[in-house]
Amino acid sequence: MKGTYLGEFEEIVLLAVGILRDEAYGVSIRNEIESQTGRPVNIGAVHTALHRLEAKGYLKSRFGEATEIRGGKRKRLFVLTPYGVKALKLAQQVRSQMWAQLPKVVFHQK
Amino acid sequence: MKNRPPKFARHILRYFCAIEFLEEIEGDLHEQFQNRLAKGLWYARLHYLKDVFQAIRFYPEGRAPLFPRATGSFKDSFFHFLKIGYRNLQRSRTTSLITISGLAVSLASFMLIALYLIDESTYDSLHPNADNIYRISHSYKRYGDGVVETDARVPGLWAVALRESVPEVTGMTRFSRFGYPGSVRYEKKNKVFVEQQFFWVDSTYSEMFDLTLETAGDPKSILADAHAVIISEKAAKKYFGTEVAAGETIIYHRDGMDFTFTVAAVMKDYPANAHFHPDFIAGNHALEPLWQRDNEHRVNSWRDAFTYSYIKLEDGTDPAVITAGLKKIFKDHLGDAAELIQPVVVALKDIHFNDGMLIELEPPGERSNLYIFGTIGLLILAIACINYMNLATARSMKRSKEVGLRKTLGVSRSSLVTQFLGESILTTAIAMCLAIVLLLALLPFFNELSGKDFTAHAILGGDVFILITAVTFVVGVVAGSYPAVFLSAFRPMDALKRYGDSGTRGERFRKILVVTQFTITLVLISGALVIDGQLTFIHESKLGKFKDQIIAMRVFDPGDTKKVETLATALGQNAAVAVVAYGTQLPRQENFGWIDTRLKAPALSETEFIWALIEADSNFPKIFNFELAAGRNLSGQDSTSVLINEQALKDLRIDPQTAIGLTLENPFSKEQFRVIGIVKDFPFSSVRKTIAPLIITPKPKNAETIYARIEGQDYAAVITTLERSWKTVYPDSPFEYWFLDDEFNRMYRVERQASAIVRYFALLALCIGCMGLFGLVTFTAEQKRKEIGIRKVLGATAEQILLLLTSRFMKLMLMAFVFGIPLTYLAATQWLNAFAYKIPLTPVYFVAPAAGIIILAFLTVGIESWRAASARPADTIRHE
Repeated sequence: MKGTYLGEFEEIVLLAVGILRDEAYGVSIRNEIESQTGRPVNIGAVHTALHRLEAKGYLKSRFGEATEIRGGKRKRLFVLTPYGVKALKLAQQVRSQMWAQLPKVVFHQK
Repeated sequence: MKNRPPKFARHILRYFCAIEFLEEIEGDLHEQFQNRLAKGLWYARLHYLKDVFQAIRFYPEGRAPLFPRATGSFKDSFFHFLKIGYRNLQRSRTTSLITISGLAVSLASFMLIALYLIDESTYDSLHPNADNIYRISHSYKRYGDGVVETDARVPGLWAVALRESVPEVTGMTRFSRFGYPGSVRYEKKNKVFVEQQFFWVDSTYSEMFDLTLETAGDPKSILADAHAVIISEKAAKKYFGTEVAAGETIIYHRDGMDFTFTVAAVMKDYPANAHFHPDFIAGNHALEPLWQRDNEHRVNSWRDAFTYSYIKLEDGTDPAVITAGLKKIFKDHLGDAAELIQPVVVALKDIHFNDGMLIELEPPGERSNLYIFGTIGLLILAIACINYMNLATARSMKRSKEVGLRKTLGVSRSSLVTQFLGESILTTAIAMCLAIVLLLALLPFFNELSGKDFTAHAILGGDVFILITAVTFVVGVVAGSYPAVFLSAFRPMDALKRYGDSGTRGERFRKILVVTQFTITLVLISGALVIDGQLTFIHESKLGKFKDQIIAMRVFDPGDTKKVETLATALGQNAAVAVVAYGTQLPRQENFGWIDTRLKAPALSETEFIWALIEADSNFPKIFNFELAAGRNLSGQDSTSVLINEQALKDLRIDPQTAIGLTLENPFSKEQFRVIGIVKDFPFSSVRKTIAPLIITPKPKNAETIYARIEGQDYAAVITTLERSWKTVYPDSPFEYWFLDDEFNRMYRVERQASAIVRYFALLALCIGCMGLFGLVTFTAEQKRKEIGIRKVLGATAEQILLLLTSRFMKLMLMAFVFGIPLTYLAATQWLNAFAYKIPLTPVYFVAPAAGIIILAFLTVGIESWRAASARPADTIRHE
């Protein structure tokens, strides 16, 4: 299964791209992650993750429209590829599998 | 324009970021920048920079990274240099202490001066659109003698017509200021004050000027209401204390009429660097009954120069359109008078430095002082940089081995230069930290000195931080430049082979530096003495002689002659009061001027003269101790006898004997006066102006001011008794008084500040210079230990050696004086030219500071030299 491994941050980035659907680009993804997780995220980290994920084939991208607020520069809009969706599903599956095996006593520990 | 990400950061991004990612990343960063603008420009800019540094991980293929992270050699060498630099500082403690403390003191001084300059040069920038606002004033030929004068104000209809006729004019507002003797009464608390800063404005005021309300309300609708007034925070505190001001009723009283106003809102006080500070703002239609005078409306008039008028232009319009527009208006509406009048247009931001207008709102600043202060700041910084250069190159021997070794191991020269520059920047940075502490500690003192109100908060926040960084960097590079070049030029063979460099290399350059340093010190100290001397001269000029014993009181209701007389009598009965006199307010022609009168002497010719007028009583010359050149003083009853001064006599072109008994006539009122005495010239207005011809007429009924000269030193007790007398005449009005001393101080504020600032900073320069000298001598003595030892063995006495060591420096001092004295002479002459009455530039101003510097330098050099000279040769010559 080498190659389908997702890091925690990568997983979050993929999820954010999925949530935002047609509006997923650097700034909006960063804002989404910040508001969902409540932790500060650097735009640079988001860019790195996005491009790595694209290289792995989980995402594909196209250029969107240019706006005044962006100094006339176009957005790069990302969408999940079917492969990406599969990787997310797999990640979730692994988690729920492991969750199911977690003994109940863990929850009573203080 | 302003809300852009920093340009250099964008260049960095473009250089480092791979082209395929560039558009996306640049766009994203730009968007984030825009979003962050809400939190402030600098916040957004700094974060943009941070983002850029994170984005440069997107290296283009094939381009070598600038800072390779893998090996971290840059980081290593950086910390290595830092460590070496730190060890060097530690190794030579005295030198480091001298360099760092010298730098710290001079950096602190420089920062203070920079703050002052920034504050002075940003006058009126609080108003939005300040760059596009202009004030229109006018100059005119005075009737009679044809002297051209400029009045800050213009007739109100000019601005209105300009707004209609010139399309580039996008806004217009006017205000008139009614000062003394208008008073404001708050009946509930029984408070009455004469108010100087009551502004009567157009409803467009808030479109042109900043008007931030502290309380709720819309400025425009308040100004449209004839019974509403906006007051400043200061005025609110004065009348209502801590209570809520809005909704209270106050009454404005002038010319026997009462106008009732409701306080509609409290406005934020303007900062000190604005050219006017209103305490009360009300719509000008509220005062309609007062505007009618001589069948003409004072505000909406073509001829009555009564309003301060401001014009807003479209972006990028040449203000010449205003001048052209006004000239056309003159032609259309003023008839023949158009020939005599010229429009004067001043940009809002330049008004503070605009000298020489009549009825200016506040006393203007002095631009030349800014240059003087700026120069002083730079000179002090230069002295400290020179110290650094001197000591760093003098110590070169100790570093030569290090340099030699580094070069042998293959370190490039540029790398060495970087190292030494880095060291000097490190030193400067340490000094800067100390300087900031020093700055904060000295702030209250400096505020008192300069009349500003800087706060620690304002200094450490915002743009000043950029200034601090920039100054640290520039000073570090400048101070380190010569040592870096000098040290890195060592040839490794020489540096390693020899026992050591004797430290004589670069000696000539060091000498030049020392000479420069002391030339600067001499210029500063002589300059301070000259400024001080001139000020003392002003203070001791005739009118100022008794100034600290003369108390002046503004008469509350000048029309009511009876009350004024009763008050004078009551005041005169106090035992501590020597003389009481009525008179016009002194010093004249600052804010309440222009009381000029037209006169001719029919017996001599038909020529008309325009002379300054002082209306006073017979005690007036006595209270100020005027000396008479001829004739006699005014006496009690005589209402047509007058005194004239020597300048007036010169105007008449007659000798004093003919002048006594001469009849003067006012061609307007046909009033006649008889000259009974000639007063010796005394400066009745600013000493910067020449003494004008003057006539003193005995007309106590027009007096605005009562003067009382008091005896003894117990001022507090005297003032209590004066207040009691005041209350018997004006029971409801507050007793307001001032010492004439204060009035003079206020008038010469600019000069006094200059003098204090120059004096303190000159002393600082001397200290820093001597510290450098001390360091240099310590070093030389150390260098020459062996030489001294050998000389002593061969029979030299300690005195001879002392002479040997000190004479070198004394020669340098003398050279400094040769350069410094002519330089100071030129500068001082230039400065004194601004005054009509000035001190002669005697050699004392140059010789005394030179002698002082010599003595101080001799002590500095002598102490250390004596120690070297009296050391036992056995200790010094011994090898090992």
